[in-house]
Amino acid sequence: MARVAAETISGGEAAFQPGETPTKLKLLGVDVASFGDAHAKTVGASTIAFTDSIARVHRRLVTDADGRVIGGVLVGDASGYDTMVAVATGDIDGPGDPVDLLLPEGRGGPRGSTVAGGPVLRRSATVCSCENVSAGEVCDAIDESIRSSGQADVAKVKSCTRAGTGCGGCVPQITDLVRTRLAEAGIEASRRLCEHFGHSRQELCDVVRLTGIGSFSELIQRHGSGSGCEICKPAVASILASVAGGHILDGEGASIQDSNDHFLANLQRDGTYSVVPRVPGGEITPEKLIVLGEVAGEFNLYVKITGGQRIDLLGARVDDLPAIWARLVDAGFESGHAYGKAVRTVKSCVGTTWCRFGVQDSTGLAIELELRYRGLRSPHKIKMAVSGCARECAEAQGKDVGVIATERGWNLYVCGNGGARPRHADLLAADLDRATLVRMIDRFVIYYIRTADRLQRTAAWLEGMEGGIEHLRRVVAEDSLGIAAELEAAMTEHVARYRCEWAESLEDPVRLRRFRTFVNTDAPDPDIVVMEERDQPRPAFDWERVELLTTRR
Amino acid sequence: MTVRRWVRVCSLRELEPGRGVAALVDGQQVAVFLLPGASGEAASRLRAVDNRDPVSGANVLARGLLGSTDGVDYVASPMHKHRFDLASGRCLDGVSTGIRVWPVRVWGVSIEILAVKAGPEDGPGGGPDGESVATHCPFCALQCGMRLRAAPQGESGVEAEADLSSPVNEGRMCVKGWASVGLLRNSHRLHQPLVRDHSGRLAPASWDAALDEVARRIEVIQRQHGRDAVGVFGSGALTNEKAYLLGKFTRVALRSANIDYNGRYCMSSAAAALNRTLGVDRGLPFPVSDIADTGALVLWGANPADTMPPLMEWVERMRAAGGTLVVVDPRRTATAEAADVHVQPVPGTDLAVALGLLRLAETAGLVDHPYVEARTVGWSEVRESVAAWGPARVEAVSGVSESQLTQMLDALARNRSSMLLTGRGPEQQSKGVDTVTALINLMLALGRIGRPASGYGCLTGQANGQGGREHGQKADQLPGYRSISDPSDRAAVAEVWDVEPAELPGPGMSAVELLDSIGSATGIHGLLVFGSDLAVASPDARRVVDRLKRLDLLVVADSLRNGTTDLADVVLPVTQWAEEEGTTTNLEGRVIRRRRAVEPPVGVRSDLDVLTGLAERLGEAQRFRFPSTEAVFDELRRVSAGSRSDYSGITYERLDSGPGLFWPCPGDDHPGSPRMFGAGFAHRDGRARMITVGYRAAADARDSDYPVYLTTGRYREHYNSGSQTRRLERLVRAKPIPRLQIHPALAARLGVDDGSSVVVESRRGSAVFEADVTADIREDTVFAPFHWSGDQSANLLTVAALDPVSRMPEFKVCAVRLRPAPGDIQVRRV
Repeated sequence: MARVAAETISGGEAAFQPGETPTKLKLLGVDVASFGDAHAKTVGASTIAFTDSIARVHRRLVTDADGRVIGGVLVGDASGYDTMVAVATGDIDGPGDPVDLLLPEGRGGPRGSTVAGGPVLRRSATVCSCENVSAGEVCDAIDESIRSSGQADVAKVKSCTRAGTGCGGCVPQITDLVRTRLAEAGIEASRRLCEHFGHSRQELCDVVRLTGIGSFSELIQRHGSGSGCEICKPAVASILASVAGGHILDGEGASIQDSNDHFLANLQRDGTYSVVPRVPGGEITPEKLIVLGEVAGEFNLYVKITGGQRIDLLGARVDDLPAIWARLVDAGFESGHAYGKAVRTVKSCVGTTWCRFGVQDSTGLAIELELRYRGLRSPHKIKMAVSGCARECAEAQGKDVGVIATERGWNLYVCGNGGARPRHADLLAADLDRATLVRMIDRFVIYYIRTADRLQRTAAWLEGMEGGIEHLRRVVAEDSLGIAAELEAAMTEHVARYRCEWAESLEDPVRLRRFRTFVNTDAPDPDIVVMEERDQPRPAFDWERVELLTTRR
Repeated sequence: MTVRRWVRVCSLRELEPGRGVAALVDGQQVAVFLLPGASGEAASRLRAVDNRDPVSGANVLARGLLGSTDGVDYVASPMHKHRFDLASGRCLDGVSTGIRVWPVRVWGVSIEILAVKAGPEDGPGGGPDGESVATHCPFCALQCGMRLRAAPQGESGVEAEADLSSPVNEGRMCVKGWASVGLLRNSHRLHQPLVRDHSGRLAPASWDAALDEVARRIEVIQRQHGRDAVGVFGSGALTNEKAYLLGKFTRVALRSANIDYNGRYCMSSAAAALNRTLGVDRGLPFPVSDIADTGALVLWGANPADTMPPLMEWVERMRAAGGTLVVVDPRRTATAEAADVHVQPVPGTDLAVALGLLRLAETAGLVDHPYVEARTVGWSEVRESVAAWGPARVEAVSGVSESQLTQMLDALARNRSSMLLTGRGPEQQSKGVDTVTALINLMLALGRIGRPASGYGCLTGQANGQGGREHGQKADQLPGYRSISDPSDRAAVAEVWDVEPAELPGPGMSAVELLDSIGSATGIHGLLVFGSDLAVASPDARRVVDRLKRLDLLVVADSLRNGTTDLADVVLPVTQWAEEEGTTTNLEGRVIRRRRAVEPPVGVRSDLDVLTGLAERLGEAQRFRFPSTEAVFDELRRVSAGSRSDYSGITYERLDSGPGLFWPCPGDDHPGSPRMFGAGFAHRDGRARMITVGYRAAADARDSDYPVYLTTGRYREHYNSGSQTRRLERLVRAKPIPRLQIHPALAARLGVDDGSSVVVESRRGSAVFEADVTADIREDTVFAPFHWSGDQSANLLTVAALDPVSRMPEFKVCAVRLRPAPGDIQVRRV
C-alpha cells in the first residue's frame, strides 16, 4: 500500500488492489474459514473438495487455470488455513499437488501452519520486517554457515543478516528455516541451546531435575563450557526457578536473570520501567484502585489498562521502583510477573456472579487459577482465561490455557495464541469438574515447562509435538507416560513455596541496592525526558529531546 | 587542554560478577562490568563501556546480560539484545558502529574510570605540556595531593588534577578539592588593604598606610592598657611557617601573652588527652594506609565519608579484607551507612559509653594485663573508677544497650588488631578531654596502642590542624609543643629567638576566654586575626560579634571577604594556598610541601610579609628578617630540635624529593617516624598514663523549655565556617542552604513538614533552618550544619561552655526548642 502511495505521489501510475479479506470464524462452535476466490469466480478456475459427513468437515480449494491455489472454504476443520492463505497470496510456494494442502491434519495433510517440512517460503518473501530481510537472504546466510562450519543456527543468521534483531517476532520462522535447510543438507539439526550447552532446553531441564544441580555455575561447569551468554543464562535461570524455587535474585541468580527479571520490572524504550501489580482475575477493590492512582500520581507514571485485565503503570525510574513497590505491597498488592517468562494473568468474565448468561463462576475460578500459578517460571509467558459461558467473552481460546464453562462443568482448551501468529486453542478435555480441571492444568503446565524449547509458546510447542494434540491428550488426560502424579506433585510444591518477589526484595537491603540509576550518585538519568500527552506523561521522542536539551542550554 | 584523571565510581564490592552498574563520570554515562569467573584477580575481569545503547538511544547497557562467544566477552543490550564487544566496543550484530570503551582499573578496593575531559583549544598559556605543580588541597587535614597547572589562554585561574602519587589519596579527591581552584579568582577575593575611615566605611588604602595604621594603633593600645591588651587569633589553616611566625610575632614583637587560634575549637581536647596519657599529641600515630590492615575500626563521632571522603578508601580496603567497621554517632551518617555496627548514643554521653566499655572489658577478662603492667601506670585506680559503670547504668545514661557494648568490645578486643579514631563528636564537649582520655584508657587496657595496625588516633580537621598546634600559636605553648610555663622550654626557645627567657610572656587566654575578655578592664582592646572567620565559627556567635564590635582595633588578614572582615577596622588581603610556598603537617604527622602554582593577584601579600612588615614597624626588624619562606622553616627546625615534635631533620630539599616526612625527625639522616609508641611512650619513663576520669552531664541541660538536643556538624560540600566553600558556585549549588535533620516522629509532634522552615531556639539565640525530616537521627535530637552565617548560623545556638582542661567549647550538644516558622520568617535561599 505504501509503495503504491509513494509511486502515485511522485507522479507514477499505480493502483492499489485490495486483496480478498481472508476470514476465519467459529460459528456455533464450528470452525469456518474462507479466503481468496472462495467461490471460483475467476475465469478458468477449478475446485478440489474434501467432504467428510461423519466428521462434519468440508474443505474446498479453488485453483486457477495453471493449478495455483487462489482461494478456498473450510468448514468444520480450519487446520492448514494459515498455509493456504500464504500459498494463495504468493508468500510461500505451494506443494506440487494442491491436494496435499487440502487434506485435513492427521489425514494426509500438513501439520498446522508450520513451514518446516511443508511448503517452502518464496525467496522474496519478507521474513524480518524490522530489518527488511527476505527469506532468500536468510537461506543464503544459513547455506554459507553450513558451508563454512558444517552447522548453522539462529544466532549466526542474526549476526549475518540482522534478521530477528528488531522485535524478534520472526525468530520462530528463522528457526524453522534453519531446521529445514539443515535437514535438506542432511545435517542433524542441532537443538543445542547455545554454544555453551550442547543440550536442548528439555534435556537441560532433565539434567537439573535428575542431578539436583542448583546453580548455573555448577551446571555449566559439569555439563557445558565457557561462561555462558544471554541465551543460556536466563534459560537456566528459568529452569532453576521452576524446578527449585527460591527468590530468583538470590545468590548467583541475580547474575543470570534476564534484565527484566533482574529489576523485577519491564524495561521501556527510554530505560524506564513499567510496573504491573497482580490483579487476580481482573477483580479489584475501589480502595486498591485508588492506591494505584495515588502511586501513579506521586511518581508521575503513565497509566494504561492492559489486555490481561490489569493496570500498567509506565515510566518508573529504576531508583523509584522500591518506593513504588513499598506503597503497593503495603496496600496488599503483589508482583504481577509481567516482567518474567511466567504465568501472567487469568482473564475472566463476570460469569454467574453478574451475567444473565453465565453458567459457572468464571471470576472465582480465574482468581483461584491465578493465585495457584502465580510466579511460576516457564519457557515463555503463559496466559490463561476463563469464560463463564460459550459466548467466550474472556477469549479463552486465544490463550495458552483457556477454560470455558458448560452446563455440566468446564471445557479445557490449550495452546491457543494471540499476537503475531494467532492460533485457536485445541479442546483438551470437556465437562470437567473443578478439581479435575485444576489437575489437568497442573499436568499440562508442568509438562510444557519440562519439554518446551526456550521462548517457545505452547502453540508452537504443540505444533512441533510428535502426535500433536492427540499425544498431548494422552499424556495429560490419560497419563500415557505414567508421569501425571509427578507432574501434579511438582505443581503442588510450587504452590506451597510461592512468595511475592517484590515483598521479599523490599525486606532485603542487599537486593534493594541494585535499584539505582548510578552507582556513584543519586542523580537521575538526565536523558530521561518526559513529555505530556493527553494529560499523561510519556517519554520524549528523540527530536523532542534534542530540542529540549538545546533550549535548556 | 585535555584533562585526564582517574575517577572513583564505586567499591569493588558493589559489583556482582556477571552484571554491571552505571556511573556518571563528568556528565557521561559509563557502564562498568565485572565478568563472571573464578575468584582470581578482579582487576582483569573489569570492563567499562558507554552506558548508552546506540541502537535504542537509551542508557541501559549496564543492565544487560554478559555473554561470551568465541572468546569475545560482550554485553547484550536489554533493549533488543544487540551485543557489544566489551574489549573493543564493536557491535557483534553489525547494527551500529559500536560504543566507546573506557579505561578502568582497581585502585585498592575502588573501581576507577579514566575520565578524559576535552577543553577548548590549547593556547600558549598552558596545555598538555604546561608544567604542573604538585601541591596539596587547601581544605582538610588529609591534605590530598593535587597538581595545579595554569589554565589555557583565554581562561583565568588554574586547573586541578588529583595527584596519583600522593600516598594519602592516590589520585582521589572529594568535591571540595576539585572545586578549590574557584577560590583563586573569586568575586569575594580581597585585592587591596582596607581601612575603616571616619564615616565608618572600609576604604582602600596602600599597604604602607594600612600597616602604619595598624602599628600606630597597636602602640596606642599597648601604651594605654599594657602589652597583653593586644591579642592574636590564628588558624589551623595557616602553614607551619605562618603559625610559627605568628607565635614568635606575638611573643617577641607584640610581647603579648595573648595568642590562641581556632584549633582550640577543634583539636584541643584530643591534644590535651594525648599529651597527658601518651605524652605527645600527634593526631594519628600511624599512616592512614594502616587503616586498611586493621582487623576492626571504631570511628567515634567521626563522619569521614562526608568530611574527608578519600579516607574512606582505606576503610573500604579494610572491610574488603574482612575488617569490621563500628561507627558511634547519634546520626545515621554516610559513614554509619557503611558500618557493620552503628551505635547511636544520646549526644553528650560518649564518656558513659567509654567507661562502660572499659568496665565490660575488665569483667569479660579482655584486659591485656602483661601490656598494662609493662607499659602503663594508673590501671588499678582506673579499674576502680569504672566499677560503677555496669551496662545498665550505661544504657540509662546513653541509650546504648549491653549487646551493643559487647559488639563494640568484641570488635576492638577480639581482632588481631584494632583501631579507635575519634572525630569532633566526643571532643567538642565540655568533657571532651575526659572522654578522649577514657577512650585512650580503653585502648591501653586492651593493649592496642603501639601494636601493628592498632591504636588510638584523632582525625584532625583543618588543613594544617596538626602543624598549627605544634608551633606556638596556642596560648600555653611555644614551638615544638614546648610549654610556655616550663623554664627549660622557655630557655631553649629564647636562645634561638635571641631574647632573654624572662622577656617571654607567660600563658595567655584561650580562644573563647580571649574573645570573652573584650570589654573588660583586663581584657584585650585590639585583636589581629589571621585566617579565621571567628564571627561564624565561634560558639554563641552573636555574643562574639557583639564583643568584636567593642574592640578598639580589629585587624583581619584573609583572602576572601567574610563575616569577620566585615567587622574589621583594617583588612589585609593575603595570598592563598596555590599562590605561596610553605609546609603543612597533615593528620598523620607527615610534613608536606605547599607550592606556588600561580602568581598572586597584584596587591596581595603573604601573611609572612604582613608579620615581618608589622614587626619592622614595631621596632623588631632584626628578629624578623627572612629572605624566604624556607628561611622561616629553617628557624622553626632549629627551635623544634630536641622537642616532642622535632622537625630538625626535615628540610625543603628532603620534602621535595619524596612523599613527605613524619615527625619526630631529629636528624638529617633520620628517616622520620611514620609509626609511634612501638617502643615506648613520650613520658620520661616510657610508660603511658592511665588517668581516672569521672562522668558529668552536658553543660546545657535539656528541660521542659528546651526539650530537644541539638548537635552540629559538616556537609560534604562545605568546609568549616563556609567562608571559602560558600563562595564556590558548584558547592553552593549542591548544598545551597543548611537543613535541619529532624526525626519524623518529632516533626509530626511539632507539625513540621519536610522542606518547611523551622525556628530553632536555644537559651542563647535562635536560627531558622529548612526541615529535613529523616529517620537518620535520634528522635530526641536535631542536627544542623555549621557552615552558614547570619540567621542560619548554627553557632547562634551553641553554648560556650568550656572543657576545664582544653578550653574546648561544647559545640556538639546543647538544648533547644523548635517551632514551625511563621510566615514572615522563612529560610533564606542563596
